[in-house]
Amino acid sequence: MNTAKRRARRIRAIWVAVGSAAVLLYSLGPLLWIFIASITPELKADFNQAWLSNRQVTYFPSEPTLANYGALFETVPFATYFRNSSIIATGNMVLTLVVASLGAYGFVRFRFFGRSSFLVAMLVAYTIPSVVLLVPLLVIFRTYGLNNTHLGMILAEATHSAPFVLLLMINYFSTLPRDLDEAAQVDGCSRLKVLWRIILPLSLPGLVAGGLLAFIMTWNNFLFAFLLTSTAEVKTLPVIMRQFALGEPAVWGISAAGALVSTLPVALIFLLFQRMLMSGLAAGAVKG
Amino acid sequence: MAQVNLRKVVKRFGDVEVVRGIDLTIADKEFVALVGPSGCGKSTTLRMIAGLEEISDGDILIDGKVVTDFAPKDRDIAMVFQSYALYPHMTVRENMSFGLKQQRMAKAEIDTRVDEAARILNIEDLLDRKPKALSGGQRQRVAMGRAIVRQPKVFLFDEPLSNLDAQLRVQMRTEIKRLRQKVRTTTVYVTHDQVEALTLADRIVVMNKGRIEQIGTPHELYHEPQTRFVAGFIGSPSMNFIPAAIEQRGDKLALLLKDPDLSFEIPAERHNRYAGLAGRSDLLLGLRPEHFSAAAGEPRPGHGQFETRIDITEPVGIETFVYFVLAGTEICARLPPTAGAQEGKPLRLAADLTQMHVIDPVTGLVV
Ligand SMILES: Nc1ncnc2c1ncn2[C@@H]1O[C@H](COP(=O)(O)OP(=O)(O)OP(=O)(O)O)[C@@H](O)[C@H]1O
Ligand SMILES: [Mg+2]
Repeated sequence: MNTAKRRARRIRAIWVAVGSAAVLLYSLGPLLWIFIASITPELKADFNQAWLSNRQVTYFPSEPTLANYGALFETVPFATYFRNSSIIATGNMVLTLVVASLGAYGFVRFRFFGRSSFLVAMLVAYTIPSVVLLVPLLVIFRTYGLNNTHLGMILAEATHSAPFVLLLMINYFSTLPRDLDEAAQVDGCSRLKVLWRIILPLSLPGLVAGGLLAFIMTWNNFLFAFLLTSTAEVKTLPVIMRQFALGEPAVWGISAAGALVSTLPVALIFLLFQRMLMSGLAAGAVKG
Repeated sequence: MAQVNLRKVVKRFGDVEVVRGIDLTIADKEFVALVGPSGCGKSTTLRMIAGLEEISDGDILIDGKVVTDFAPKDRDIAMVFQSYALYPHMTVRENMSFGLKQQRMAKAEIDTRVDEAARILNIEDLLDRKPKALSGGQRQRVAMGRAIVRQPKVFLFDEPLSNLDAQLRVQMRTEIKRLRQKVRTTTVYVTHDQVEALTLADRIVVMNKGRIEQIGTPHELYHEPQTRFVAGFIGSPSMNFIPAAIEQRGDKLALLLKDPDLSFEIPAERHNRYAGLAGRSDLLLGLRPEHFSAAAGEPRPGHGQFETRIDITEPVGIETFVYFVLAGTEICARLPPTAGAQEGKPLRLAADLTQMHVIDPVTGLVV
């Protein structure tokens, strides 16, 4: 009886392990492929062959090399693009968090005229495809001299991350009992101070999740970076990735190296904050 | 150290008037309890004093100053919440010093105050814990400590003990009383537990449906309730209300009950009070369970004896609650266990009419 139960449990454990391995392979496989490509030396273009097949397919290069990584920073302005991505993604993250927490606090704690219509408007704003915003954004940029500036790009990116994170924070703040606000008010806090000293510290997982989402949205956003900018001074990583693929011949090795380097920050942040991220997305983690 | 005045204070939520014009003066250092049934507006009144709820009409004064438009932080009050509302991300010490830090008090002074309060409340060992790691009773103490260290003008309590189990509640009640001997601050204490109000308060405010029914000392409310509501609300088990009539008999007044037909002589000292009611047959006799006793021999002066059949007995140790029917109403009496009450058996009882109340059901007032 007992041994049968134990065996059943062991068999189930094996199945779980096999399943996890499959999922892992499926999601990490492409990454592995990109890694291999990035250490495969770039071949001299062979114009007798069709442009796509100018390299051999191997599972592991016979002479692995880091030359592609060197080329990435020497022959293309990759560093500039990386810097732009960092500035715009970080800026958008900060702006989004400020707007979203102030807004969410207002929505959760105050009853005001038009409150629910505003909420619906936020939802709608989030569902508007970014393409629709391109022309108005360009007009606004021209009017206020924001063309090809980091600030302009940050403001543009916030149009889609702020509504989303706002909804996330509304969800999060609603789980905090109102008594806490009131206790802090009686203890001598203004509303803003309540938000800063009580609500935000208690919402840390939510803030981390919201901030990361905003960061990644911008980091990966190709559309705005491509269409709203005209100089390399503000172009971001997704734009250069496209240029690699469009080249003739396409520089697959450098492209793969670039892909890995641009994935790195996001992956690192995920690893650092994964615990908070999970509980933040699940919401309601804090309870007296 | 401050007086609190409420002047015609009204609270409306939309069209619903929840607090309907309250006038109340709470003296410096006085402990006032607000009691009343659920939904009568106790918490709303307290929250208006705290500034957590806007006032629809009227004025509130603290220490002689109109604070109606002041934010809670500018009123110099401290509040203990039913849920305790301890900040979960702070230790007990941080919780208690939070309010003082907002006032930018010197760190040394903060520490002295927190240590002092922790000593009074017996929570010195808990200062470095987070609220999550505390029991209900300990959280309750921390919540009180957070209020004490502030040394505010007014303490506000909203049902601070109702989340504790019965035994702990009684213990904390005594604790609050003891605390009160050391820290005398003007206090408004909301509770729906009348025993808490009776034991703690200097004066009790009984509220009903957004209005004040009566304000008085515990003794006054118990012995001289002014309305039927107060008479029924204060005291446990509550006062019995028995349909009755009053008749003039020569130069005496008689109290008549029906079913069985009983006639008691009203004590002479009440004659003046009830003379105007002679001939009325729609009155209510109010008599507390403790004012019944087992009859022995001739009726004592002011007592009326009658024979009844006991329906139910509830022995609770030191006394027995006895239920029977008189004048078509179920009556509860508190008798000593030695009274010999047995279910289904007849018993002769005496009603102490010197403690009687007569209620005019038309006005709902105690005559
Ligand atoms: N924010 C609000 N909006 C609308 N109605 C409210 C609001 N707050 C309270 N009320 C209503 O006001 C009335 C009084 O509420 P209050 O909380 O003061 O009652 P209470 O006497 O404290 O009762 P309890 O003993 O149950 O705590 C209730 O009928 C309640 O439904
Ligand atoms: Mg209440």
